[in-house]
Amino acid sequence: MAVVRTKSSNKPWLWRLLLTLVLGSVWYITTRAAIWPPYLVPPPSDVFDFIKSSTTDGTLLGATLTSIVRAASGFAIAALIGLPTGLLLAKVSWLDDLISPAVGGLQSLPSICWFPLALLWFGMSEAAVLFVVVMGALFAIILAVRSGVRNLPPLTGRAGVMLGARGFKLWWYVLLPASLPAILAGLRQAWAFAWRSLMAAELLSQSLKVGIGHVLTTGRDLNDMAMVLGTIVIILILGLLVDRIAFRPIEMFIARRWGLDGA
Amino acid sequence: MITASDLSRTYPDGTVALASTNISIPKGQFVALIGPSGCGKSTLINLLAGLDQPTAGTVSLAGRAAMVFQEPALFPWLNIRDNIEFGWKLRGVPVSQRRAQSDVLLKMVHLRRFADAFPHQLSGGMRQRAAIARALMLEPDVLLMDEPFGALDAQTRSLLQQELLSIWQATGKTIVFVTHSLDEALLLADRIIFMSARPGRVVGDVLVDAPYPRDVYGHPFLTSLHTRLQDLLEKEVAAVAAAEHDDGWMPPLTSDVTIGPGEGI
Repeated sequence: MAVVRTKSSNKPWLWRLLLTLVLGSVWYITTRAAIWPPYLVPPPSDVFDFIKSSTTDGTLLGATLTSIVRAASGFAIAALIGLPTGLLLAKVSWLDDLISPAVGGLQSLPSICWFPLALLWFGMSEAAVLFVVVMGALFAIILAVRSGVRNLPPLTGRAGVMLGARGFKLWWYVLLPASLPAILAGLRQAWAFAWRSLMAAELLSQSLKVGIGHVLTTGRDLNDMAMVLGTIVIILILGLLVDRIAFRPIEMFIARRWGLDGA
Repeated sequence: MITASDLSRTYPDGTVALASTNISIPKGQFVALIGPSGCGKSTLINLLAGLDQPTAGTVSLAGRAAMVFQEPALFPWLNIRDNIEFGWKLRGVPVSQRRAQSDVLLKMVHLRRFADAFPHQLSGGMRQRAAIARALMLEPDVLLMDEPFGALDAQTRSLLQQELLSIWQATGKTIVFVTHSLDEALLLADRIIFMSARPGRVVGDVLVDAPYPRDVYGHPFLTSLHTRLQDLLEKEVAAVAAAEHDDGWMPPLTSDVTIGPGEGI
């Protein structure tokens, strides 16, 4: 896989910073000119003040932690179910014929559609939210593992067999490590799905422990646009941060080790 | 000693990849399997390796077999040393013992300096040498090679051919070597088994009694053998092409020129 690089500036971050400054200035100028009332478009300083005060007084920290724990547990459960299921589908062709089309279909269903069902089953509870998060991440993981193993060059498996790897050993020492890059890419995507699903579920749920999605609802209830915008920024940063801290380094390591381009 | 008796392989779609074949290869022989594409030489070597099951007949192979494929098929997540030691690791051989043996083999294939490198950091020829070392690590009695140098450039191929000959002479392994290159077969093998396509079967079997190192074009026996086998090979290739094209199309020619066997492609 050759990486085709389009001609670009050697300092892309400088241009990104510049763009941010330009957009920020436009925002600032429109609020100064009072084109829209501040309860619809608050000035950047208000949003910044909200982020600053809520992070320093600790209210946001608790909500953030609650949400991260929810997303991580849902993601972990999805991975625990999804990894073996994906392997099973890759290996057992009649099972694959039977259920893979359904998995592909369910993957395209927005996971928040499961929320009414979860409410009837579990009531307004942590379990209902968790269910939506699991459903959001599960199918992406199953499909990534399945295609990761199925798209391996046939020679990989034959080389393993030739070297004496059979059954479990063939899977554990050859097929699984060989498909690790594809599996990891699937997990990374599934994390994004889990985080999105959680935010949707938190927006629609009340009377649970306050998560970051609930803060967003509170902002709307209080008609506090600075709070809404500030929370959106924080949700964005959190999703990105987990991706950068947890997934990106592993992916970089694997890409380097496996000799894949584009690392 | 390898014996194939009435060995045949028919694929589910009805293609007869190999029709009832009898071959017997004594210990220590270097056999080249040659023939046009689709003649079942890869099928035969996979059957010998036990990587494919025959439709009928039996294979008996005394001792262990190891295979080198056309692609190195090294594992990208392991460095060269770990790739070579992989078979022993599966068997649970202690590290110190593995080290000692892989040191010998790394030296034999001239990759000692690259023991800690990963496959993607090596050239194609180096990777294939590592694949040969990995196969030798299994301490096989028979080394099966399926067009191992087919994907390499001419210089690298020539170098690896020399190295393979010295490994063969040093270890005395039985080698079965699939190739589509007559020059390669004559340069390396002390016996050439000639196969034909559709269905795949053995049509020729010659002993190549000439000293090493060989110069195919400077040795009268090798040169005449080359001419004879070249004729045979071209005829086979023409037959395959005719069956494959099956459209009666010929290159437009002036009336007084006729096409002889093997020239029509």
